Amino acid sequence: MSTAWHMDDELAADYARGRTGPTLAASVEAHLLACAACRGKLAPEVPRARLDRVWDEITAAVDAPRPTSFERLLRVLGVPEHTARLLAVTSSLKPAWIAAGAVALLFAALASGETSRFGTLVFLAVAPILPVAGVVLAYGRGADPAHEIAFAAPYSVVRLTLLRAAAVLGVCVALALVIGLAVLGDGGLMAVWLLPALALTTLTLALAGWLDPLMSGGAVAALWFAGFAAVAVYEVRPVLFGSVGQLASLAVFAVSAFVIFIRRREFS
Amino acid sequence: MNDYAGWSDPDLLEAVADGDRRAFETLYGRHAPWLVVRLSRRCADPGVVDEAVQDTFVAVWRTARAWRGKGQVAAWIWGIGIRRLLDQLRGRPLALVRAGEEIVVSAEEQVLLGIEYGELGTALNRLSPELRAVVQATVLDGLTTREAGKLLGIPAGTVKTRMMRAKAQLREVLA
Repeated sequence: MSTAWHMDDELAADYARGRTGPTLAASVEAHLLACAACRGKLAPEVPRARLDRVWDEITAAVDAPRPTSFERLLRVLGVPEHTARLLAVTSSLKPAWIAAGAVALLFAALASGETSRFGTLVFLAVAPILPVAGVVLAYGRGADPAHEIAFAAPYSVVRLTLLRAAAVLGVCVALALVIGLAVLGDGGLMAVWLLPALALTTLTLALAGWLDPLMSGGAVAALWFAGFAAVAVYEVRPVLFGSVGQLASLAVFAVSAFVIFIRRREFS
Repeated sequence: MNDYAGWSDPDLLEAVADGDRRAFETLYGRHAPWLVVRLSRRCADPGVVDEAVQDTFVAVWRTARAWRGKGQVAAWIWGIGIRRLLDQLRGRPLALVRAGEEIVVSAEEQVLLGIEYGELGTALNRLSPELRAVVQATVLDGLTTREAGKLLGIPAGTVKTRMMRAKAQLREVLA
């Protein structure tokens, strides 16, 4: 009910500038909630520019996509905003992909519990290739929803690729370590595949300079399984994961990293 | 934009709930100024007030559907606004709050409208600034005891006891 009582322009100005006494201010405030005309009288008291500035902030906030929980987690961990966004759109860092990888590893690890010899082999064969698959899916035309944007953005492709590869590698290694330790409980077994995994991932990235990521990943995986099958007949652990294998892995990693560095300009 | 000028607040809010950006802009044009003015009387820092107003309208945009259609849209917006201001003040020095300057009274709006010239206005003016600040925060601003305590920088228990004292004094004057 708007009574006969209304603000005049003078009162509106007094109220806006804090010149009204407490009781009068209270009257005004109670009245304002019920009277659109008197609310309108306060409009000239606020500079247009200030309202426009706040409005711009509001539209920006309203239009911004809400960050995913993963992105918010990264921000909490101190990752810069743009890096967090880049990592968040990486498909192989999506929960579904990580879950799939975890299941694959889990089965491999469970299998090794059944028959100590072949089961361990399965785990050792799968664990190093998981990061490769992750990296392949982390970028490339088909897999990356932001591929076109990333392609056109004034942002180093090598940096983007390595950033994502590092993140994927980190996730995969953590996954494999946890599952390996929990199911297999073999510390030594856990350590031996880390270097091969790093070597295979880097090799994939290096080859991606010439091939489609999917192709290079496939080639590396095929190579790995072929080599695995060739030596598994004898003793796979001493050969592929022994000192010879570790040294070979290190060499592959070094050469691949060097190739990536040399060809960093053509990388795309 | 002019098409919206004749719309009532509830109509605008309904359109906002459906994602109508121009209705939202109209609503902002109508309610932002007085909200800025009123919040400025609770907090002297314009930057903090602007942040609170911004948060308020972002919340209005996201929760327009939650408005039940009861009461004044302005009152609903004020309820969001004063709480966003509290959020902004959390962790900041409470010296920013200029509470204790204003006041009020019984929850009835009608009473409030005529307060200035009545006995109640006189009675309120006799309250100490501390007591008036509590009455203002709980009755006029519509805050809970806990929120009022946060706004004024005093414990919730103190808000309760001051409110009781304020009521007792008002009763005495008005009796």
